[in-house]
Formats: sequence, C-alpha cells, structure tokens
Amino acid sequence: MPFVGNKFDFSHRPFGAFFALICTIVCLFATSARAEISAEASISAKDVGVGEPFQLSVQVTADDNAANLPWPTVEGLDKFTVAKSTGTSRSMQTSIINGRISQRNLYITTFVFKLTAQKPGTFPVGPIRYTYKDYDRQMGSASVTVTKQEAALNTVPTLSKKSAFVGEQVLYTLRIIAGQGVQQINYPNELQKLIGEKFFFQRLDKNIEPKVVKINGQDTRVYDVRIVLFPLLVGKAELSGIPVEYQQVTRGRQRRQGSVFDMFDDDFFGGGQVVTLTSVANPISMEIASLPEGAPADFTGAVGQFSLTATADKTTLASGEALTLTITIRGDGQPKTLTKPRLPDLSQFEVFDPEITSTSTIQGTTLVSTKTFKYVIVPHRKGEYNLGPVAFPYFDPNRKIFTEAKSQPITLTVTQGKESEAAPTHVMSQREITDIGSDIRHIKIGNGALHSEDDFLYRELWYWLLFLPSPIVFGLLLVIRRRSHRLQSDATLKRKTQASAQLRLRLKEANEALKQKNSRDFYKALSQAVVGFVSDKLNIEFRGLTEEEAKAKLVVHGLPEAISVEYGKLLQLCDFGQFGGSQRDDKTWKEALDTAETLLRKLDREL
Amino acid sequence: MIPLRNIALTIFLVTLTLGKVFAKPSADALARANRSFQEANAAYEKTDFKKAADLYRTAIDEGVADSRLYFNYANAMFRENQLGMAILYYEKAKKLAPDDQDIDANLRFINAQIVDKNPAPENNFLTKLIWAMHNTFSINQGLWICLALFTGIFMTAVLCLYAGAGLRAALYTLMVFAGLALCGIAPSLAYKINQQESLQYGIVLKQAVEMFSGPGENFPVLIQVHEGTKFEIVETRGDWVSVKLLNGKGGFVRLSDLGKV
Repeated sequence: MPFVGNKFDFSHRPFGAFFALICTIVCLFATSARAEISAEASISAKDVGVGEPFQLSVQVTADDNAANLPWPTVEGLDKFTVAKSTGTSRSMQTSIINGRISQRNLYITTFVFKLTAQKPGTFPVGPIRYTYKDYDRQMGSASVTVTKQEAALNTVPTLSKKSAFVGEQVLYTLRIIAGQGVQQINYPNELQKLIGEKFFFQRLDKNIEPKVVKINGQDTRVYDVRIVLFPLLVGKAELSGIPVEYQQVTRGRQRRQGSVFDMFDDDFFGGGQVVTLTSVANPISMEIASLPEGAPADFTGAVGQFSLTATADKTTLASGEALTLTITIRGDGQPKTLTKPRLPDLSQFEVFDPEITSTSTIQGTTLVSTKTFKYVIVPHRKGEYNLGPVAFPYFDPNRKIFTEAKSQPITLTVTQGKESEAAPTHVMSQREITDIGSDIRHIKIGNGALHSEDDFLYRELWYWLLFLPSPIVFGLLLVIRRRSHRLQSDATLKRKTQASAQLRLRLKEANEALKQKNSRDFYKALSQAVVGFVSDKLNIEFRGLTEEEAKAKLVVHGLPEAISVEYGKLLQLCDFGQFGGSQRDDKTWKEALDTAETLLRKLDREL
Repeated sequence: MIPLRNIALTIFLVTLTLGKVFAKPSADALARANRSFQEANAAYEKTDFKKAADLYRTAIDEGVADSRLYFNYANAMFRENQLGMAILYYEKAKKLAPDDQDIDANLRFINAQIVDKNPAPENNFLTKLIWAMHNTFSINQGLWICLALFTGIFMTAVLCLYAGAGLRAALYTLMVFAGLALCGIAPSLAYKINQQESLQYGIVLKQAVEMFSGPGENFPVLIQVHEGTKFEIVETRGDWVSVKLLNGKGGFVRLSDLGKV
C-alpha cells in the first residue's frame, strides 16, 4: 500500500516505490479474489510553489457490475484552485483456481484533482474517502507545503512625460525583465481594449529584441515594448496594467511523488515542470491638457513639431502645360492630423485633386510621419506668377502656441502656349478631354416655327376648367343610378315619387274630355286624378278606396278638416257629373277643374 | 347662394389678370422673331457668329421664349467667346426643355472651360434615376398627362357603374394604375412649377466678380467668382443680390454682374 497509517510516506523513495509496486500487485490479486471494487490514492507532489499545479489522483478498479461511479470525497481542497477530470480504461483479468481458468473485465477509473496553491503555507489534503454502495474506504490524508516563489519575470511601465497636450506624442515603454527559467513570453496583443479608448496609439517596434542592461549591478536580460501614444481626451488618463503571459520552468525543488517512475524525475535528468504565469504591469497615469484658445480656422488638430517643403518640377512652362507641385509635411504629430495644407491663390491655374502618399519612420524614440501631396496645376495664361508660401497650421506644445509650417515662395514663368489665350487648353479628366475633342452640338434648325414655350398651361384658366366635366358627369350618373335603384327597391317611394306624374297624366285626360265636351269622361278623369293622387301619396290601393276611407286617412295624416271636406265635395261632384247625367256648361266644368287643381295643390303641399 | 353672375365676373377678372401677367407676344412679333431666327441660322451656318448672335438677340427681344432660339443664341455666344452668356442661355433653354440632351452636352462642355469649378453635390444612383424621371416631361407635357389621367380615372369610374362584374375588375385595376401614375407625376409637376415660379438662378457674366459678405462694397470680400459660375438667387436688395453657390457658400454680388436664368 502506498501509505503508512493515515499519512503518505515517501521519504525513502526507491524503497517506497518498490513497496508500492509490490502492494499494488498484491492488492490487485486480493481484490480479484475477494472484492468487486477497490480504490487507491496518490499525489504528485507535496512541496510546491505558489501557482504551481500538482495532482491528486484516486484510482478506482471495479468489475462489470459497477457503473456510474461517484467521485471520491476529499477534504481540505478549499485552499487550492481545483480543476477536475476523469478517465476510464478496461483490462482483462485471468485467474486459475483449482486448475480452472476464469476471466473477467476490470474497469479502472481515475479521478484527477488538479490543484494549484494560491498562497504559501502548509495545508492538509484529506482525509480521502471513497464510498460506493457497500464499499467504503478511508485512504488517509497528506500534508502539502506551499512555498512562495520568486517571480521570474517582472514588468516595469514608464512614460516619456507625465503631462501632455491632447494629440501630443508620448512614449510608453513596458520593460519586461526576464529571470532564470523563463522560456517563452507572449507579448500583449489586446492593446486596443486596454488603451484604445483614451489614446490613438502605435507600436514602434514590430519585433522585440532582447537586450542586456545592468540592474542592481547585475547584467539582466530585458525586453522593451515601446508604444507611441497620442492622447484623445482631456483630464487624467490612466493606463491600466498590461498583462504579459510567460512560461516558466520550475527546477531544483525536492519532489516526492507517488509514482514508481518518480525516480527519473530529478535534476540529474534536467527535468522540471513548465508552468504558465502572468505578470501584470502596474497602472500608470498622466495628465492631458486641452489646447489653448485661438486655433486658426484651418487648424486640423496637428500637435507637435512640423516642417513643410514645396517644390515645383519646373518653373518655366507654356500656358496649358501641366506642372507638379509637391508639398511635403513632416512631423511627430498624429499621422491622421496631417491634412491638406493651405495653398496660395491659384485662381489663374487649373488645380487638380492631389495624389497623397504617407509614411512613418522611427527616429530614436519618436514616430515621425511624412505626408506628400502632389498637385498637378495648369496655368491658363502666360505671365510671371509668384506662388506664395504653402502653409500648414499646427500647435507647438513646447512653445505652447499655434504656429504654421511654411514653404518658400515659388516663381513661375509661363510663356504663350500653342492654343490662343481665348481658348486655353486644359488638362482635364478623361471625360472632359473627350468632350473638348469634339465640339459643342450644332444649332437647332427645326421645321416648326418659333413659339413661346413659357406659355405654361397651369397659368391658363381653361386648363383647370377642363378638370371639371369628368367628375361632374360621374357625380350626376352616380346620383341617377342610386335614385333608380332606390325606386326599384321601394314601391312606396316609387308611387309617392310618381304621384305627380300620374296626376298630370290624368288631368291631361280630363282636359281632353273637356275639349271634347264629354261630361262623363271629364268627371271620370277628374275623379281618378284626385283619388289616384291621394292613393299614391298615402300608398293605398287605388281600387276600392272609398270616399270615407280616404277622408279618414287624410285626417290621420294631420290634414285640416276643411281639405277633407273639400275632397268629399269634389268627389260627390264628380260622381254626380259621371252618373247624374247633368248637362253642365263649360264654365261649370272649368270651375270643377280649377277646384280640383286647387285641392290637389293643397294635398301635394300637405302630404 | 352665390349668383351665377358673380361667378362669371370673377372668372372673367381672373382670366384678364392672368392674361396681363403672362403676356404673350403678338402674332406680328412672332412672325418677326421667326424671320430673324431663320436669318440667324443662315448666318451661323456661314460662321458669321456675330451677325447670328445679333439676329438671335433680336428674336429674343420680340418676347419669344423658345428653347431652340435660346440654344442657338447660346451657341453663337460661345463662338463669340462669351461663356457667361452662353451658359445663361443654355440654362434658359434647359428650363423650357429639360430633357434635351444637346443642351446638357453643351452645358457640360462649357462648364469644363470656366475658371470656377462649382459642382453640385454628387447624387447616388437612386437620386439620379429619380431626377431622370423627373426631367422626362416638360411642365406642359406633364400637365396634359395629369389631365388625361384625371379624366380617364373618372370616365373609367363611369364605365364601372354600368359594367358587368368581370369587366369591372379590369376597370378597377386600370383605375388603380392610373391613380398611381397620377400620384407619381403630380408631385414632380408641383415641384417643377414651384421651381419655375419661386426658384431663380443667376450666371456670372463678367470675367471676375467679387462676392461680398453684405450688400455693399464696404463689406469684406469673401471669394472671387468668375464668368459662367452658376448661383441660386436668394433675394434681391436694390442693386445687390444675395446668392448661394451650388456648394452652399453664399454672399452678395452686384445685380449688374449677373444674368438671371
């Protein structure tokens, strides 16, 4: 067994290893004979450094019947950072008992606790206990000593200045001091997240080469990561610590591991454990001041020291001939602030958009940017032209003033070109060259006579009146159609509406009879006109409408008594005329007709 | 109720007023203008550009606003090396015939030769397409189309009153398309009429003109503009005009230095 009593004891390593091997073999045979499950525990180291990982393994051997094995319980792990993992393997066990051969499968499950100590001290690991169904085993405990480990890598940040103006170049240097055992350094690659919000930045060196400097009188290997910063915001700007990840080999520590192969893991064989660690630089801060008032109108934010040169590729040329004006701005400001300079008056020239190139170089510990503008300009007319200075405004943080970088004036002599002054030739874009190569389009002769095309229709009243007929026609037809539909669906309304038409028809018949002096027909038509009008207006069936019934209906509809009486008298007169055989004169008939018309007008008004 | 007599009187007065505001050239004036136009064309063909320009000017002075006349006069002015006048009359012609490709070509050609580059803001593809559609019709063409569509919609509606169910569906579809077309053309037309009546452009006619920050020579000079540069005229104050360049810069120039489009 690999432990004595409740404590691991690996103080005599060769003996312990040999003993553990014998015990394991014995245990395997013993468990095969008597038990279906067994558990063993081992620890990889008992003397570790802070941050150095080590393992506690519990190996459980079980037969076919054991499934879903639980994790062992280990006390004292709260002092460590724990990462768990497990693995299972299978083996075949053959045994001969009383001459009979038998075989069975064994499943070996290893539960691994990867432990990392966070602080120095001596910490117990255990007791370790494994319980599964009726199997319960105590595997003792171990004591792990954690010692403080000297960091093999240190980082020291520095700034070239503690206060600066917005946009002024500041150098940030992160010195990485690598000690013994440092194998690999991973330089920070997430600078954008760490400093990108407050600064425009650019790394000066693509490759970081080590150099040896004296620190505390000793030659020490260091790596300088140099970053150029251009502050963006006013106020106190803090650069948070930049983490540097590195790998370190741990050597020389006495190891007492529970494996039989630990005898090979000593300093003689150059062994050691590689651990990955992180060193975080201390935060560092600086004060960022705003630029003073009084910036020129064309100031674009350039802060630093700048110079400007302007050259022409020729100083004597013909009108219409192109020359190239090359303007170079150079300085230690933020590259993006190097914008187009202010040109002198070039109204007598055709000026084309410049070709712009930019580069950055490192001069010592300073990032110097250069931007070149190549303008193609074409003089229109001959003459002597003095091109004034080209200027680029910037803020000088040393003198704390706004100033300008200026070029020397350039004198141009323009002679008469091939083309006349009146029609100067231009160097233009491709399309314009094509157009000039042709000519303006010829005059329009046309067949028709001239006419005033500004006689706009919207100024003519008749035009707007033309919009009226179509909606009016549509509206009228719509009304007619709706009325027609309504009359078709409503018989009462139809009778009422057509009552007047029917009346006119009957009165016409009466008039005809009057002309023919036919008394019977006259009174009959008159009677029908009166009764029919009332029946149509009151929606009562014409046939069988008695005088009394009609009079009662008129009263019910609120007509005055006098009208009702008058109605009765007229009907009696008509009956008398039809059936009495009286031979009245024209005057009597005319009076009867007038009476009827008067009554009908009253009825029409009241009903 | 408004008496019919009053309505008739109102219509008469409105017609009279409109007639006075937009006076047309008389038939005699038209005849004289046509004669001058033909003679000018002949002179131009013989490369007598000065005579041609004078004759075109005579026709224009008769009060005839014809895009061909303006175009030809602009051509003659260009030949006489008066770029400002040429651009002014091309612009006038374009106002009357917005879809004329010849006017656009000559304007492009001459604008490439003037001193000031005064480009209007670049349009994207969609905006260019909308402008192309907008310029497809002149104002009068658009007005006729609107009238035809409007009348057509109501006539179709009349047919719908008496048509059977099958035909009615087809007529409804027709009405919808006519309505959509009307909705597309009417705003474009309204914009054109608004531009015609309220927006005015000017062209610099002198070789170099100073633009002041106020209506007077005592104000600081902002920029110097040259012959042929196009302005939007914001307002006129006596002898001075408040103008705005196509790129948005503004100032005051003398009225006499400009030609109104």
